[in-house]
Amino acid sequence: MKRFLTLLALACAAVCGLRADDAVFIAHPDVKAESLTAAEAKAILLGNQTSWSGGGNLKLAVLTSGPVHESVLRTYTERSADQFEKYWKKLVFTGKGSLPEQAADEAAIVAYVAKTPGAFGYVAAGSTPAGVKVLTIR
Amino acid sequence: MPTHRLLPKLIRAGFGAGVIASAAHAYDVAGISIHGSASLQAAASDNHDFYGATKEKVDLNVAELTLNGTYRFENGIRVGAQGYAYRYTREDGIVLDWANLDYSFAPEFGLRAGRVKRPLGLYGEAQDLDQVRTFANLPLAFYPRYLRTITSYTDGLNPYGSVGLGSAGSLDYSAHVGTADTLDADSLVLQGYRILGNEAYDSWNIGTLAGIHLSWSTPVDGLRAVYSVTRVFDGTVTGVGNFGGGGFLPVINDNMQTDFSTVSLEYTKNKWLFAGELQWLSLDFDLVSPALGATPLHQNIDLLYYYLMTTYQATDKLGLGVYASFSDSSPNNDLPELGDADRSNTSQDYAVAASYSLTDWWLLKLEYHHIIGLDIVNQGADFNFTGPGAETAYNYVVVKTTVSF
Repeated sequence: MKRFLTLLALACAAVCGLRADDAVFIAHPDVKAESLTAAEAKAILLGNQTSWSGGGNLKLAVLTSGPVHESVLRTYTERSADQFEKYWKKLVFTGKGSLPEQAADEAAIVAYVAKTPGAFGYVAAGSTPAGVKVLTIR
Repeated sequence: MPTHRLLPKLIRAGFGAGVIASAAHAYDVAGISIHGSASLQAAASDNHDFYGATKEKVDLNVAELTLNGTYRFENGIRVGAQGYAYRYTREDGIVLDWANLDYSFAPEFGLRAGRVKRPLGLYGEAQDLDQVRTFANLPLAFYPRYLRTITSYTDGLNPYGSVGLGSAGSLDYSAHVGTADTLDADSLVLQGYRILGNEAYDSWNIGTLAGIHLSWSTPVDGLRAVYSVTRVFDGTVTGVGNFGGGGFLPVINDNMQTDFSTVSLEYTKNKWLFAGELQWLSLDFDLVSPALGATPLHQNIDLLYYYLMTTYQATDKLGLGVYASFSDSSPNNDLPELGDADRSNTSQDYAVAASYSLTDWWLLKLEYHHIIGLDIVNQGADFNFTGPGAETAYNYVVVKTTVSF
């Protein structure tokens, strides 16, 4: 039964084109968390969660464009890249948030997350970024 | 140099500096994240000096300069401030737009203390932010710029948070309690009162206020419902009034309680945005004057505003928008009429707009309004307003450019 449910979940993921196929979340190696929920991912991306549950500042890094960026935003925040950018500009100019680190490409986001304690970002699934921790979605 | 002459120069200088500075993205100086924007607007109208000397000529009627800095300490406390310099037709100033300490204890609860932006409906907090919308001007009656000073910020506390509702979506809340600035005789609101009526006011002490803004992200992807309310408890407006033609005597609008309430829906789907909002204002106050005898005259004024808006992001650079906005300053038909009985206390504002991104930091906007009714002219927008017999239909064209970083 357990195997059946696992196969069913994998089949669903494949058919639905789910997030796991597109991107993985990464964090600085010192971050204690091993996984996060989709709701937590949304809260982080929208600036509602600004610290790790185990303690410490959470420092968000985002890509500026590209299919991985679009996919993550659409999947977890129900926003397009343009809407996401305007959302953050609104936060910045109303005193409700500090703009995330902007990374031009995945190498830049990995480099930032690897060197910055508390950092959080995302890269394409299947890549094997060095120096960062991959967080699973539970 | 007087402020009203110095400020436009400062803003224009700032605009020029902004054009150059904005070639780069945000600045980070010793961990302080710095952002800014600058806007200039030119406008013209065919029948009224609507928001400036715009009748049958082009007037550079709006200039704005914004600069903010934010720093986050390792303990999670965030501190920041924003300065806002503006010239809006005859009113200008340099104000501290927000300045506060902010700490988020959890996604469900955070607290800001200091000067905080005050939410109103979908876009009240963002009414200065050209960089986040297609229109140069939000619906003119619903988000009147001449009321910005009293609708923009609160000095006090701002608890906020986001609560997950499971399959029902999520609920963001933002409450505020505190005080607001006192308006002086130079404010657009009081200048407008001075011209339009038999009352000339020189001070509006807003008093204490409190409110809450609830934003429900529904289970329907892209659909958001918002309710907001702010109550101003004990405002006082002082000046002189001429009641019954007996000459001007001191007058006080005392114990003024004002409620701003909105319900809103916003739906975004791919490149489309649909929004609709309804706002009702209720003003209660006691009119006190020797001309009226010993007993204060209790007054109640209701105002109603609503609009529908659609925008479409046609390309990465080009955004298009249209809205229809309506106002009624006398929904109970209890205000005196000026000339055309059907149109002196109401307005219909039909607008189309295009926004083009010249670069990722430089916007150009073109906007056309066809306005029917004198309601939003009545409220201080036209300093040459002729009263009864004034033309009730007019056109208003706006060109605006904004740089931001």
